[in-house]
Amino acid sequence: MTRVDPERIRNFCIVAHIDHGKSTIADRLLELTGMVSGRDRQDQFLDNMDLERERGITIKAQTARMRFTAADGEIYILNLIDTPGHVDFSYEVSRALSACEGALLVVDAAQGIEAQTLANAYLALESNLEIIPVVNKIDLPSADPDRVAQEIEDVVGLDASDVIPVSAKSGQGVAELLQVIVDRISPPVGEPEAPTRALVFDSWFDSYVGVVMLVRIVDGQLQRRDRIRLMISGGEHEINQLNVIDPVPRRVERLGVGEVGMVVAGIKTLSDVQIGDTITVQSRPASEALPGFQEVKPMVFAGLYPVEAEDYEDLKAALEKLKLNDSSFGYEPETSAALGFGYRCGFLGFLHGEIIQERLEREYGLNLITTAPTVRYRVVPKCGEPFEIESPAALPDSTEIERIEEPIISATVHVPSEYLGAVIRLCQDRRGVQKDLVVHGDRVQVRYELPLNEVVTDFHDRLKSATRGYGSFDYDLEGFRPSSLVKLDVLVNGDSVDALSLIVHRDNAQSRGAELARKLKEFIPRQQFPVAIQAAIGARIIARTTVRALRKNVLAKCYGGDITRKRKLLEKQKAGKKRMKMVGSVEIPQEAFLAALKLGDE
Amino acid sequence: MPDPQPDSDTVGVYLHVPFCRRVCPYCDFAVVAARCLEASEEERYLTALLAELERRAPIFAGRRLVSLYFGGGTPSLLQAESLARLREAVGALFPPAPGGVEITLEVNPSTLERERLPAFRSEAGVNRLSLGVQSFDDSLLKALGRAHRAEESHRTWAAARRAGFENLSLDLIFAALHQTPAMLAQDLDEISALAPEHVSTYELTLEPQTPFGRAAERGRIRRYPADRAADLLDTIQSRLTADGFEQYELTNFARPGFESVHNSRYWTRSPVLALGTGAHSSDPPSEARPYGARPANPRLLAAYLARVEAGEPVAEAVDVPDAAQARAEAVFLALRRRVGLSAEAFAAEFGAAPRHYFASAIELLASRGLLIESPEGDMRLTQRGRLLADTVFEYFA
Ligand SMILES: Nc1nc2c(ncn2[C@@H]2O[C@H](COP(=O)(O)OP(=O)(O)OP(=O)(O)O)[C@@H](O)[C@H]2O)c(=O)[nH]1
Ligand code: SF4
Ligand SMILES: [Mg+2]
Repeated sequence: MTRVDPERIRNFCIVAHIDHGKSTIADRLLELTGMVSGRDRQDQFLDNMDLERERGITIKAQTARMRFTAADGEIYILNLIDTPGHVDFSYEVSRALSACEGALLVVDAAQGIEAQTLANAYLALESNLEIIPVVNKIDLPSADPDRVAQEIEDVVGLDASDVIPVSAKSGQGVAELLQVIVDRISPPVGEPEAPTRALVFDSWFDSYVGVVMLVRIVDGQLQRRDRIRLMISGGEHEINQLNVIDPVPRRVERLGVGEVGMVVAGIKTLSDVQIGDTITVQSRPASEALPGFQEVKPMVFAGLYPVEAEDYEDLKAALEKLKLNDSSFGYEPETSAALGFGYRCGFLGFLHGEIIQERLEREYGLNLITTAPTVRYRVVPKCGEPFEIESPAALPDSTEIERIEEPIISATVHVPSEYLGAVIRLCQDRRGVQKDLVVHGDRVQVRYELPLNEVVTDFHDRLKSATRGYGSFDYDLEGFRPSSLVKLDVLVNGDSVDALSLIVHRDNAQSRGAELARKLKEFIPRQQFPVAIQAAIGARIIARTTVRALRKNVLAKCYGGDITRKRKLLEKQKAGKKRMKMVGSVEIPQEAFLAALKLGDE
Repeated sequence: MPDPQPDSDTVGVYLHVPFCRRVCPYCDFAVVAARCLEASEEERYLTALLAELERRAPIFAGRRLVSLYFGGGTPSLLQAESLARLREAVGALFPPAPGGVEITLEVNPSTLERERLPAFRSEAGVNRLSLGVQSFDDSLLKALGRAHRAEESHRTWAAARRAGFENLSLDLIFAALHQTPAMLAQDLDEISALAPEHVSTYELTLEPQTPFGRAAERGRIRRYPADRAADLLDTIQSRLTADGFEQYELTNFARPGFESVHNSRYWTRSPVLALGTGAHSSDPPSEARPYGARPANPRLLAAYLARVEAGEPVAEAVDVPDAAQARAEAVFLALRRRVGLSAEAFAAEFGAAPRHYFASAIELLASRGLLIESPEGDMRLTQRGRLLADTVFEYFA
């Protein structure tokens, strides 16, 4: 059996701003190295989730291994990790970086540097990776590779002469890129003879083999049949499969220093595996685990409820499995009077939340209701210690509160100067305060302090449409700031619909309340009695509307002697009602919740 | 009126005649267009009906006939002689009940049928006519795609009276297309003047599989606003009541003594032998099927004929209600009638009074003023309950 000499391994990832062509470059690399043949070819080969293909974005980092014969005539093993570009998934990027010695920093030759270019470049620099700047899409008529190379030098601080121009579309420059990868990125360093340490940097659940761990061997080696120990969780298992991803899984007998591969060890208990854990071999264990990953703190929260109450257990199982694949979201049980049993989930951003919901629905066949996304607020009570809340329901009565503080972010927007006016208007509209403004040629970088809750839902979309797609933004959490926030409740016939409560800025309460009441009215069917819909801040009603009582519900129709049909219609009608949620004595259909909860992102 | 308990010794027979001169764009009955009904086609269908009758009758053996109903479609397209043959065959199997037999024929207002009316009475023994008048507003009749106009309704009506019919019913449509309250008031005036014995009201429903249904899907036909339909229903109720009719069932009004014997059998869950395309029978209870059974015939003429002629079982599906379903039916059918549900009769069949099964529903509905429960546990709908009947029924389904 051949050992792979670490000297002949190169581990690198591809990072960039969203849509700058990472996955397409990966396609060309796989083709050039003969890993994907014409028959299997499809665009963004590594984006294998349906959701990724439909949305045209990468959500999960993906790994592939290639063999490349370099100029020196030697065969090199190249492990590539394609990463997502959207800010919500930057956690994926940081994990990928930990498995690599180098990174391709891809910049679109027409768009130039954008917010996520910088954010990802800094992440790579912090992890001490060798960065190869790549300017992509040089085939575009609007491409200006020289200007972009200069921008890379000015803004990121990488030498413009090191920039590799390519077109992932035509393939131009990609062969040279392979050689540059071999030349510039250093081989993995690790102790082949030391006790084994392998970093688990991704994992997922497979219904046939159980938990699959994606690892990078740092020291030592893993062999089939090895008894392994997960150093943090403490679980012990036997390896029954090792695979490299070629880019489809291929069984191997061992993985050595610097190699990346999949480990299957018959693990069925999901909680036994955490991303960031270190695998060692039981017979000769390492004494210290690898540093793992910094825990990420969710920023956006929402309740997820099964539409059918019976699906609660399935939702629980699905969340466990998904968590294995995406350690950046959190969940805990939550109950709502209106929606029943569900989970409060925390996400890194709004898109992340949307993606989690869609994955749960598609991959696990669930039908879910999501409550309005909210951020974490800090509550300073009149007596007692300040505390943080992640749900409007947790907010105490206003009489007990000294003040509420909201999270503030420092947002950096990159935009061509002609759209600056639009960006400023948008930020002001969202209660933003301008911090500084830097001009790079005809591009501007503005920094704003913004309340996080003003950006969680639709800020990104609004920015894109206000700047014809040219604006991009990135943000960091700054801290909390007191603000004039109130809890907005929705009442139907006097009963509060907890799932619709919101924490909003006082200035927006009136319009939000009226909007919510109007939407609900549209979807609550007329009942045997009038239904008053009110929006209230505490005891003060700020908006009100009524669904008039149903006057007639009898179909004067001749069914001939078809009593069966009539009975079945009634049974169906009744089943439909069962799916409604009761608030007091008012029946509210799912669509009413969905419509009301959608308001925020319209 | 028949006893509200499912009875053990009578039978009603329904004969479906699927032919219509043309098919109305809102119709979802089992019908086929037959511009003029060929004698051979009529004969073939008749033969099938007679064969089916022969085959199905044993289940109803020993019962006395209380009603015979020629429905459709347009049964008046058949020759009087054909109806007579059918009636004779039914009569030969089931002797008439002591109170006599109600023999109803559905008639469309047209010249052809007008001429046959005396023969329908003398030869086929028809003693009750149900006239498909729908409305006296020609613009509405036209919009509904009906072949006749008000003029023909008047003539047919007069001819029926002349022929000696003393029990006339007419169909009144409401909440249809461009119908206004004034148009409906006009119709009610006409009805006052004609003084029928019985009125059946129908709301125009836009069924998905019909041309009107499809037009409504595409937004070409407006669905009648529910509140305005409720207004029309109010008007109908008050006008007909003032004219001396009693709303003895949700959609039916009659002068005392002229309630439809045949239709009442459905609301009392009494056995009905229904023959022909798309017919739904109510077979009497048996040991194996304590709540009876409801075979449903194929709706398509070709399928029906093929089955009968091949000697195959005719029914396409048989619904055999279980106890819970039967209870639901007993309640919602009885509540359709003004007299309501008898707790005693219910208990006799199901072993306990309605309250035993439906206590919380009864209390809720009574507290909301939709239903009245007597101290004995009998139930009937209130005026509001009648307008919200489908809401009420759902609680028992
Ligand atoms: N003209 C041109 N288009 C390109 C080139 N490379 C990529 N594209 C297009 O740019 C779009 C985005 O490409 P992707 O490879 O999905 O970008 P990505 O960086 O992986 O995007 P995320 O993973 O969502 O961040 C696609 O429509 C590609 O076809 C190129 O060299 N030239
Ligand atoms: S006349 Fe009656 S049965 Fe015939 S098509 Fe018209 S609505 Fe249908
Ligand atoms: Mg991608």
